[in-house]
Amino acid sequence: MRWATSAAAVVVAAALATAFRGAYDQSLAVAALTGLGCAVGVVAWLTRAVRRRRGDGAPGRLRRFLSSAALVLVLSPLSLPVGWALHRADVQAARAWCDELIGRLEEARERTGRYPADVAALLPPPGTLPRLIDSRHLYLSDGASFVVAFDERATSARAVNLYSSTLREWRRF
Amino acid sequence: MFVDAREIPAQSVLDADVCIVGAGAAGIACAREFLGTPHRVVVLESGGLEFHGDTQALYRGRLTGRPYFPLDASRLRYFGGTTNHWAGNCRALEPIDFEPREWLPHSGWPISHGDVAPYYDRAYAVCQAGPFRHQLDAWRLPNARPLRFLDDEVLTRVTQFSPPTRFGLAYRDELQQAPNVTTYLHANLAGIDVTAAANAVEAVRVRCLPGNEFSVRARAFVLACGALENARLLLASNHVQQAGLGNGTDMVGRCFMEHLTLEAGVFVPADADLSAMDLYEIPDRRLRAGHWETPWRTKAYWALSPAAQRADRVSNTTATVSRVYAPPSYSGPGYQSVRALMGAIRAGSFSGLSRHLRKIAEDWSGVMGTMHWKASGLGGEAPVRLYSLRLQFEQAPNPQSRVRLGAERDALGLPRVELDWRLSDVDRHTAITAARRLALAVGRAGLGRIKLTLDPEDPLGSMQGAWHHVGTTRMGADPKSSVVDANLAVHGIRNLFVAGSSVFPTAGHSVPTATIVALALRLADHLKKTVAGQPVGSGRAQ
Repeated sequence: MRWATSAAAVVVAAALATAFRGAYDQSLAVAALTGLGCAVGVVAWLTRAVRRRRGDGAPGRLRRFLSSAALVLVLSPLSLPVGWALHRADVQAARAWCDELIGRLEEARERTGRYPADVAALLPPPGTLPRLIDSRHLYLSDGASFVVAFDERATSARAVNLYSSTLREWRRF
Repeated sequence: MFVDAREIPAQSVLDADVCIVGAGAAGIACAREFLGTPHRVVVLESGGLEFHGDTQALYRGRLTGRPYFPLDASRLRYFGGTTNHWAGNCRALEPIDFEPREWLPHSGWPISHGDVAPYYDRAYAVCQAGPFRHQLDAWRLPNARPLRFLDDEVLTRVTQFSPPTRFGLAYRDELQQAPNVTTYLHANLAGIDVTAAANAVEAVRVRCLPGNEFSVRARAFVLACGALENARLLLASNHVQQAGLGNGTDMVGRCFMEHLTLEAGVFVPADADLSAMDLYEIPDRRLRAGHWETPWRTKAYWALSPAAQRADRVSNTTATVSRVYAPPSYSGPGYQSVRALMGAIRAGSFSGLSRHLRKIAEDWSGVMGTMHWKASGLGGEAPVRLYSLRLQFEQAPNPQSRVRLGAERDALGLPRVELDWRLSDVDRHTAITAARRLALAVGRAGLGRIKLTLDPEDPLGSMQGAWHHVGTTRMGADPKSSVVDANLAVHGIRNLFVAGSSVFPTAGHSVPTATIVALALRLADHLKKTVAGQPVGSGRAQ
């Protein structure tokens, strides 16, 4: 039973971390699940107290299940550091992908004298973009300059990563 | 003095030097210029001193083109005219607004910015908007740190605010006490009588709602009734010229324009110190209280530079930002505890855990409301860092966008107006291109990020007008493409003049009131020079 509970806790935490990847919603979900876990724990404790008063000392199946569920839910905050790590990896992947794109844009400018009007031709097939890249809001150019930007959409929502070809630097705000 | 026109005996004929039809911004500004002069002025105002439903109903009309505001809601028909619900924004037009721009069909005024500029000082005084200082540097601002764009492709400009002046209230006493200016209230223009050759106006016919009718003869007549009504009155005065006065080339009513306004995106400033935004985004409360060290109220906005307009072949475009406010629950105890708790957990501390949890439990609905707001995409770690970006640009002149006479008639027996408002590809191009230019300029300079929300397939889908009626009796040197000349005289009719935004050949980048008043003052100067010494009804004003 302990092994099953531990495995369930890991699965739930992993599911939360991979589903939300450190986004604000993960904190919300964890807070809600922890609260639920506390409530379930209270119910499990009450069940145990009632059985003891009745003189039935053997742990019931329901009480065991409730105790395990409470433990799994209360351990859901373990998913947060994992989610944040995944988020950092997502940001790094997006930044690296953008840096590669910027290199190709500079090559295009050396070749044609202008930056391309859009980057549709430089994008990988749909579904293979880094997680944080939104191709609709990625790139703006007037031919002589460009801006590449993506949102982090994480616990510090609205954090923006922006590269200006004129300033030749990334800014995060 | 004021006279109730309903008490004028029927078939009376009144004489004056100048007859001004309409007592709104243009009519009152023009009439005031004659105070203390030897000229006798008659002002005809359809309404009374207060709003009345029966008179306002004369403004009803039909929309046959794009959806628009109800025609009896976007203007007011009583003494003071539409200034009675004016917001008070005063901006002068820029030199490029007057220039012909080859990418903007039918653009170009027959006068230059230099011809109007001397009148802006006086116009701002009439509008009580403070001294006319259009440049940012002229104002002493406590947080004067305009965002610096690279290459000056986007400029910071200043709007000056009138209190706003209700012309009917502000100038009522002056006009009431003036011995040479008589304002007839409840006096509706029913027709314009011209000579057989239709080259001069002999008199205008006035009709009151109770039914009495009289005439006014004058040396010069000024229509100052707004862009919809000026065109309607010319078209309806069709006894001699069957297509309507001044409409020999079918230009009366054409090129109706608006300032096109749309939410283009969200602006996230890069600088955590938001004091610079105090220039651009001033809550109404502070505006009312007087934001600046001066007694005058101002607000900054962005404007595409003339060079950027030329490069992108777009209409003159401005942008304003307004703060995206958080819901009240954002600052509630529950959500603030969520924030504090998250910060503490991240820092590895659990101090105050029970206190925060208790507050969250107590304010759970507030927490959920804030979460919902954040999930909708508007929220952030600091809500005041988000601003919505609103574009406003001049609609390109479009002859198919026009005012016509409808089949239905109003209580005076005049045909009601029909508005067929249409946009063009230039407008769609401007919406997309100007928004992208602004977003690029902001990002390129590292000032922040504008995330555009315009639909590229239908950029004008959420567009609205700005309650600015422009065009319909456009000014120009060529009668084939215009209705009035550079002196605002109707082509071919020597003594009939038009005042107001109906004469604008292009709408310009900004709110029209200051320019309406400036042009009215210029017209008054012209009339003072030309009407002197000419007999009433001769129609010889040049």
